[in-house]
Amino acid sequence: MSVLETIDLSIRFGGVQANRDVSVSVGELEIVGVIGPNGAGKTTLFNMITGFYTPDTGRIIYRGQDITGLAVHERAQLGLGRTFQNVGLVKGATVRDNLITAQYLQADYGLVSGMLGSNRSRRSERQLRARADLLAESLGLADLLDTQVAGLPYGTLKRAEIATVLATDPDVLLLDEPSSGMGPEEAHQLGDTLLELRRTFGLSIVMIEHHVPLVVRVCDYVYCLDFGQLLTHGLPNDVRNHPQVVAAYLGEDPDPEVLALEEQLESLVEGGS
Amino acid sequence: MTVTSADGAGPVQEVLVDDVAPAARDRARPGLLGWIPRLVVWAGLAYVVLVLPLGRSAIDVQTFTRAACYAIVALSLNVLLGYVGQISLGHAAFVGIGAFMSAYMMTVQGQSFWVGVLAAAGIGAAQALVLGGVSLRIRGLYFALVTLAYGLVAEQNIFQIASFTGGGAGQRAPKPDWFESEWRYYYLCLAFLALVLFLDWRLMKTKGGRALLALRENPRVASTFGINVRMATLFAFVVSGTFAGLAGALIAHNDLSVSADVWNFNLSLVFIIMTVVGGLRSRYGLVIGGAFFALMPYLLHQIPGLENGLSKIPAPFDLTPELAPLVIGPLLLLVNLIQFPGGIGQQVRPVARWLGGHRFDPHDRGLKEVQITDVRA
Repeated sequence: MSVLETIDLSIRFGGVQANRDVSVSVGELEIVGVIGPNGAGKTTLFNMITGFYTPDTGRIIYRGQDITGLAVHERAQLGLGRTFQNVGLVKGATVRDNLITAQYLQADYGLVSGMLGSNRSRRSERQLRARADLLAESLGLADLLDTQVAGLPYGTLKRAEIATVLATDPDVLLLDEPSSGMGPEEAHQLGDTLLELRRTFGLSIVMIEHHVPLVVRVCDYVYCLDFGQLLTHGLPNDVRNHPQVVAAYLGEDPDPEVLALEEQLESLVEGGS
Repeated sequence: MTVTSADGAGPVQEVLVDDVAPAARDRARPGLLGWIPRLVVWAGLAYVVLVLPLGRSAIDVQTFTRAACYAIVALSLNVLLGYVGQISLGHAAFVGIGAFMSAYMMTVQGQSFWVGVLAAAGIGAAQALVLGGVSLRIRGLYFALVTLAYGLVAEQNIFQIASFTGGGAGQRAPKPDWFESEWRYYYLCLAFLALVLFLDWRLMKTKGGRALLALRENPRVASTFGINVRMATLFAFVVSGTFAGLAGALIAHNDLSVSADVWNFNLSLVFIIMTVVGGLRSRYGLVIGGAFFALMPYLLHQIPGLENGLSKIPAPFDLTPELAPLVIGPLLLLVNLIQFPGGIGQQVRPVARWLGGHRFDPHDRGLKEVQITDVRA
C-alpha cells in the first residue's frame, strides 16, 4: 500500500510540457529517489505534489485520499513536508525561531488566546521551544540555535532546513536536492542522517538528488525523469546503469550527420586561417 | 552564572552549560550594583511619563494624551507595515471612523464610553477585514493605491454623513464618567496604550506573530509550515484595524468632539512617517515615534520667538508649528532611508536593551540584513 501516489500527472507552461503522465508511488517507510538532468521537471513534480501547482490532468493520492485540490497548508496538515532547492527558511530569523515557527500546527491554542497570554498558550510555547532544542540537537545544530539563518554556510542551511521541516511533524518528506552545496564527505553523512531519521521519525522520503552515490546508498527505488516524462524506474543500481539514463545524463551518441558537418566546419576554419 | 571556557576543565563545564537554560546563557544578569543605575533611569522615565503631566495645564495634558493615542496608531500601522509588509495610505480613515463611531454611540445613541470604544474597535476591525480581503489579491504599491482611494472615499462620503458625523460642527464626544479631568483621562489612555503594547508583545511571542514574519518574508515557505497565509493576513488586518479604531475613539474623547476635516490624506502620511521613523517592529521605537510626532507642534511652541520668526518668512501659506510633522517628518524619513533603516528604534535599542538588564552594547542595532529591504512599497 503506497503512502503517496501520483497518477498520470501532466502540466504545461505555455509551450513547455513540464510533466507528462508522471506516475510515481511511494511506499510506507520507503526512500524514493527522483533523478534526471536539469530541466527534466523534477521540481515541477514536487510543486504539484505539495500544491504549489495544480496539474492540468492527473491525480495525487495521499493515504487513499485524493489531495489534488487541496491548498499547500492543508497538505502540510495532512503530513506532507518539503524542502526547497533554494532553502526554505525564514532568513531573517534565528535557527530556533525557524524551528518554532515551523511547529505552527503543533501549537494547540488559538491566535487570539495567544495574544491574550492564556496559560494554555504559554504552556504550549514552552513545549515548542523544548522540541526545537531537541530537533536542533539531533541534527547537530544545537550551537547555532541563536544564530541568524542568513549568513550560515549552505550545507548548514540545508541541515537546518531538514530540521525545520521535521518540526512540522511530517509523514512524508519531500527533499529537493538535499545534498547540494555539500562536499562528498558531508553528502555521505547526510545519507546516514536520512536513514536514521527514517527510523526514528517513521518517515517515507522522496528526494530529488544529483549525487549518485548518495542515491544508490539510501534509496530503495528510483524514478528517472527526462523532458518531463518518466524515462525509467527501478532499483537504484538498475536505473543507474540503464542505457537511456546514461544517455540522458551524458548526451546521446553523436549523430553521424552532425559529425560530418562538424568536420566540414573544422576544415573550413583551418582553410581560412 | 557566567560560564567561562577554562581549558582543561572540559566535561564539568559542559554539563554546567547544558544545565543553564539558553535564555539565561545569552543574557548576563547584572548584579545589584548594575541594577541601581538602571532603576534610576527607569524612575526618571516613569517620572516624565506619570508625574510630570500633573504639574502642566489641561491643554498641555491634552497634547500628552494625544501622544499616547498616536503611539497606539503607530503600533496599529506597524502590524500592517512591519509584520505583514503592506502599506496603508488610508489609515486616517480607519482611525477617523473609529473616532466617529465612539462619538456617535455616546452622543446620538446614548451609550456609555465603554460601549463606544468597543464599537470603535469593532468597526475598525470590520473595515480592516474588508481591506485585508483586497490585500489578498493585490500587494505592494497597488494595494497602497487601494487604501489611498479608500481614505479619500471615506473623507468625501462616510465623513459627510451628517447623522453619523454631526455635519460641519462635528460630533460631540464627552469624556467618560470618572475620567472627566484631562489628567485622569491621560492615565486612562496610558492604560490603553499599555494594553495594546501587551497584546502586540504577546502576538509576536506566539504563533500568530511568527506566522506573519514568516509569510512576509516568504509566503511559500510559510505555507509549507501549515500556515494558512490568507487567514493569517486577515488576522493581522483585524488586529491592526482594532487598534486603529481604539486609538480613534480615544482621540475623539480627548478632543471632546470630532470633525470631519481632520481625517485626511495628510494625516495618513503623518501616521506612516511616524511609524517608519519610529522603527518598524520595534515596540519602544514606535511609541517614541508616535509620541514625538504628536508632540512636535507642542515642542516647537516651547521654542521662544519661533512663531514670530516663522510668520516673518514670506511663504504662499501660513507657516505654523502645526505643519512641522509634514516638513520635519519627510526629512527624518530621508535620514531613515539613507542611514538608519531601523528608525528611532534602532537608535535607542542599545539603551533599551541595557534597561532590560543586558550589557550595554553601542553597536547592537538589532538589524538583520534581510529586514533592511522593507521600506519597499
